[in-house]
Amino acid sequence: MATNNFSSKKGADKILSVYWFAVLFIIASGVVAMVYVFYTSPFDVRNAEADALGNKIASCISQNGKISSSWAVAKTSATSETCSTPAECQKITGEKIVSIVNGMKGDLIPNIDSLVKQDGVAENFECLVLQIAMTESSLRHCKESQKDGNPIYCDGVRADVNALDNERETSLGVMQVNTKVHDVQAEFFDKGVAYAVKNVLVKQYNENKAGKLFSPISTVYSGWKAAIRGYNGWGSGGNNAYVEDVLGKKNFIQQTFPEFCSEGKIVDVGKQKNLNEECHLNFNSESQDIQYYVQIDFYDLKTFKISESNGKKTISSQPVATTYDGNVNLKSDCEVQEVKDYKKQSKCFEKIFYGIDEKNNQYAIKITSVVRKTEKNSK
Amino acid sequence: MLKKGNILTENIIFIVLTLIFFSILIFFIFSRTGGASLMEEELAKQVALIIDSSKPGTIIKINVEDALAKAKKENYQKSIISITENIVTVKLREKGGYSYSFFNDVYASANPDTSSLEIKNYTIVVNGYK
Repeated sequence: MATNNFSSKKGADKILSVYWFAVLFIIASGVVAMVYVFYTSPFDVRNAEADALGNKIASCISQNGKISSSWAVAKTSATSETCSTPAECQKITGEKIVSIVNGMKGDLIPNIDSLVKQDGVAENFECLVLQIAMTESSLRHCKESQKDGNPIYCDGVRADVNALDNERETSLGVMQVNTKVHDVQAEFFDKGVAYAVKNVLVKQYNENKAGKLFSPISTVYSGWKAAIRGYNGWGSGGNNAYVEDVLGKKNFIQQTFPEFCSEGKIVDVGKQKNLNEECHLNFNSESQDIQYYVQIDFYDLKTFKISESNGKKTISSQPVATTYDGNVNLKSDCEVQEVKDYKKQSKCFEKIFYGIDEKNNQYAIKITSVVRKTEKNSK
Repeated sequence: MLKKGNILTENIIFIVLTLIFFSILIFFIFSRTGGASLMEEELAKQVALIIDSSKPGTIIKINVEDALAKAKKENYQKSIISITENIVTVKLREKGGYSYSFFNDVYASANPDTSSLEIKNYTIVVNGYK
């Protein structure tokens, strides 16, 4: 019995050894797999690179919180200019509209300027919005054309905003957005313009570009003419000649804003500053395509607001000026990154700080820096 | 006594096999972690990020002892770090090398630090803007 016990113990030991090696083999396979995956993946330095790019831009545009007046982009900022005559005030208001529209244009419809020009409604998209604003309010946001030289003195003050109040509508501001139909605080200049462009004009274009019958005058409008018609509404009781009225403002807008609306002009406010040169950047890399994108948004600190929903903070005000450089196609990756961070996508970095220019205008400045370089940083 | 001897031999074989097994595993891990390609990538990216964060006039000494040892092991005698235009290239072997670009538009150069007898460092000089 004793011998048998010894033999069975020995046999059990052998079986244990086999299991021992089997366990070892499984562990080793796991370690090898992990090491292989970890060390064959490239080091991802894009976050650090985007961070460094953002810091470089920040130190380029601001020294000890002071922004050079050339960066303040006063050209498109009505807050830093004053007017005395209605024509001067129209000019300032129009420039502010151009700045807002130009900042959001890239996110609306691809080749939007070409589409507008093809339809013959305006020289480019910004000018179309100016024509509509001219038709709606004569480019006037407030009841008076100015107070203390400021044409937007009433910003956010409902009682002082240019309004059309009747049973059908309560239209407010420079774009005369009907607040009985649209849920927007159109008494704020930036919000009203941005809403009118995105949620009315562009929405109408997307919905009706193929063509829609305007029954009061039995006319079918398509393309941007349909968008203009839709801006005034498709029902009866509105201005039946609204499209023609807007088109009729083309010459006036071209003469008033030749820097934006003269023949063949494409507005690119952001490009007015050459970031590459100003901040000593070189976007060449091993790849053929540009692997970087930088955008600087200047917000008027007086109207700067951050809203929070579902724990996510977003800037609710519109920038008074935007400057950018690099590969604009990378910008869309930032929006995706807000939802989920994909390894294969570009890395975005955002930085917000405050600055003051030589004229004591206060700005909140948001820098968005994007680095792609996926092939070098992700497997 | 004979049976006891068998047990001892089996145990020794078992221990030796286990040791061989772990040795192979550790060798694999070290070969992966200390590979020339990995070192090239790490150094190139490190230098590019340093240049990106530097202002003109900055001089940086970077310790490259490990990289030089690896290059020596690979019989590579030439300069291991070179900068052309805005691209840093690190090469520790004849057939290999890794390049990474930097966005700071400066004149930059990388040279071995010859202040000591044995070269341990490389000097990265960030000159003026282009």
